Amino acid sequence: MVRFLARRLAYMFIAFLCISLVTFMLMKMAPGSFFNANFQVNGVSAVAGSYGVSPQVMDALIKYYHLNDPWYVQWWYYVHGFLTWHMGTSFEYPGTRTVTIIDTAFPFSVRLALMAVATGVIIAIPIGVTAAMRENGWMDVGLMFFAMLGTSLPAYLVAVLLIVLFALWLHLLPVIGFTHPQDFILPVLSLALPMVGALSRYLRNSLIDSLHSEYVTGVIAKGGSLSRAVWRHALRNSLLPMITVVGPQLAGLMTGTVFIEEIFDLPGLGHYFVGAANVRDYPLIMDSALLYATVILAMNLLVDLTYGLFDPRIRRAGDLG
Amino acid sequence: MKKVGRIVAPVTMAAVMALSMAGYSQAASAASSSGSGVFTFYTIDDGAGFDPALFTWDARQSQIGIFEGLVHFGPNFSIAQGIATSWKANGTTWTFYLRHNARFSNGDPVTAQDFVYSIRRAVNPQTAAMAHKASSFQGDVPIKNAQKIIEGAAPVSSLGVKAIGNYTLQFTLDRPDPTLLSQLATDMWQLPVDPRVVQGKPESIWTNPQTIVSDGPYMVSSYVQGTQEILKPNPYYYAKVPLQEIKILPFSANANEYLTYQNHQSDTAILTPQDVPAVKNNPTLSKQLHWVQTAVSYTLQVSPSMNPAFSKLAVRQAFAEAVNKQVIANNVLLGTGVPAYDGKVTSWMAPWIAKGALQYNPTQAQHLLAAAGYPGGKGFPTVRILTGSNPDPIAEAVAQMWQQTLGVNVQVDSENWGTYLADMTKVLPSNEVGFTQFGQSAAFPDWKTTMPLNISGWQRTNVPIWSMSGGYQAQYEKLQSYTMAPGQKNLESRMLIAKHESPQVRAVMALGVKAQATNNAALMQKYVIAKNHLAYVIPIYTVNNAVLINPQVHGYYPMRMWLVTPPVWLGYITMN
Repeated sequence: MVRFLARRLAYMFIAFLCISLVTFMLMKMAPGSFFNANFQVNGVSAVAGSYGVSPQVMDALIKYYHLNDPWYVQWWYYVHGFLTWHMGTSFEYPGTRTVTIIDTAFPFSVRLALMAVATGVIIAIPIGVTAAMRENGWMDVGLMFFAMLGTSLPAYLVAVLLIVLFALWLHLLPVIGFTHPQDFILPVLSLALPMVGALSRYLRNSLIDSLHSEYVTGVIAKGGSLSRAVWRHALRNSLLPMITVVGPQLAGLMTGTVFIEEIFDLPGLGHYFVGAANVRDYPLIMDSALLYATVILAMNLLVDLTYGLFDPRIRRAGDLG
Repeated sequence: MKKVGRIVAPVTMAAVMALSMAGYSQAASAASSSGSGVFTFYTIDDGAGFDPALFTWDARQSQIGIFEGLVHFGPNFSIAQGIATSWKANGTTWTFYLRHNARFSNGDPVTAQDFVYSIRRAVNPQTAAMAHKASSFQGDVPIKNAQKIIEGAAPVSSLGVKAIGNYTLQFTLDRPDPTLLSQLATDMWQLPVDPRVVQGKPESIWTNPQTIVSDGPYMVSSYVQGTQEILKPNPYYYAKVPLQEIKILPFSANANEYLTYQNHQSDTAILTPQDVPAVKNNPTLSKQLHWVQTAVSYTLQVSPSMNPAFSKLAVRQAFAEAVNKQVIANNVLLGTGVPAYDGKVTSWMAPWIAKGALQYNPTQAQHLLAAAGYPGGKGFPTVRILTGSNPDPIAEAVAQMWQQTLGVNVQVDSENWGTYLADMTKVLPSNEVGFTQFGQSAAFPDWKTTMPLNISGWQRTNVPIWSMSGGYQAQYEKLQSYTMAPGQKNLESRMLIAKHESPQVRAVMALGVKAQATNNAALMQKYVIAKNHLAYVIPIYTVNNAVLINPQVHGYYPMRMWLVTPPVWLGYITMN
């Protein structure tokens, strides 16, 4: 197990360095730069926020951000700053360290993702159970059709549909804000509904397998009802594999809330990441991209460890491999 | 019991959602019908903090009611008393008499010494340098020694601002400036900060509501950069503050203000052209629609090119006269724009501007192009329009007009913002000429403030660069590289421009400087018209915002200088 973990951590570190390098290169290859924008508009009132930045300030900024250093030095500053959690300040918000932005924005995104996963699971369980209990009946076919439909719709499209229904037509729910519980209903549902399709289908199939097993036949043979067999026996066993589905879903959601944060103007990391990419805010792009990468790598490791815990064969394969 | 347990989770969730919805419905109806005193509107929030010494959009919010300076704007850009209750001008000396009961939000009194400290702080180049931003003092107000201080040639203490006692403030100017009050009402550098709170503190205090101390009717209560801020009344304000709360939402191209307004979550909304017909056809909403002309104009400016075609005046004028601005305003913008005749001087500021401008005249445009050696557009290089928005229907419409009227080949390059910024200074090859789209805006509502103060100041604009021939433009492009220090780059650019600019441009610049120096209105008009007849810049339209305003909101006088036209003074806003 220790060897397995050590090996996976080593892979993670290599993957992290590769991701940081690719992100850095892509960022540098993108035309335009934050300071280029500042210089171009010096004296032209096109961009008010950049108006009149003096050459002295420009000089100081270029030195402060190592922009005249070789590329590998610049890259290493970002990676080292991230690894030691001593990141610099953002271009866009020069009075604010990127770590401060991340410290407030990332937990927001995590909370949003957790709420979405919890909501998704809560909705998926009754759907999956109902479908499994009426295997191949019209209810099963109907529910699975809608589940497939939900899976096919991306979160941003679901968001638009929900906005039209609950805000534009019914005026029941807010479309902007993050201070009241009701502010989160539409964003959470937008993220949760596409997930419900996959989760409920997975649960249905797993539950049907369980329902066809001998121990369930035994329960029914002893006079237990189907409902009792499902809720008391089969569901417990069928929920276990769902854990392995929820893990990647959570990782995907934490990094996939970008569109939803933009649509509902929520102060999550995705919101800042999009803004940073638009204005070529290199420190914020790098630090948030590295954080996203770390989260995905960590979640994958966690899922692999969970597999290992539940299935010794995987653990052994890791040791041997 | 177990059955109940099985369904409890979904039912609980449904109940929470239903209760939340009910709560929201009540809150929404209360906000919109009972005049709860919460006013919500959109404006630009750049997340840079509220330091009035810096040129940021948040600092501009400071100016409309979070801080209060000597004066501020009233209805129709009249000058209203702020902390100063009266003032008098005597040549180059202006004396302001301050109210005695003004206080910061922490209870500290606002004194003349605080103004001196704050203005010195804003003019001091070290303040902006430490914050890695631009100063809110742009050097366009002729306070004595300000320029020398900016250039490092004089100490900050020599600035022509002094306190005479606790409640009298005196400015000494380099020259008489009849537009001073208008500039004070517009600028942030004159807003007082509390030295006892600010001195020696890092810039981060300006993004933390706990440490932002201001003297306006409202203070920052909560602030999430680029997302939302909430203002509450300053408990020490000298007069009654009319609202319980103001919520500011960030304006962005993605923000659907119309939807938020319809959902009762905002009291104002700036409509996109696509929204206008629906609102006009809605009997309720059409009564809430207001049209607000801004000071922001969409212009096309000649791009640097190795091809000399646009160095001919007749060619540039032909392109200017081939654009039917009225059709663009009516059919493309659906009324959200009106024809523009200058980048900064708008029709609402100067009604005479349209009269002397180059007018739409397709026949004359064709003659001019033919006289310049390109009859029917034959032999004319490809024209590229570079724009920073995708799509850009205005650029497409202009391209179509030029193709149909002048017979030239036009391509529109709609690029994302970063690419656009990188491409705008590239010199086009010898088989191409082009225009670059720029938004321009006057800083003050008085068109006379757009005059050039001196020739070197005017060199900061692009016109002298465009007027240079292709070879020198290529030299200029080399100066843009990062290999040279910005200070040196700036100096060499100025030298290059001074050596190679067109005599026509120099003559018009000299006229503007003379008009400004003599404060001669007729000469100023002549300069503005002459500048536009050079046709290096083709103004297309001035933004005419279609704004929905909740009928329960009163006292909303729009700040036309900004694209998003927020209230000119939040202290005027009341709600039923």
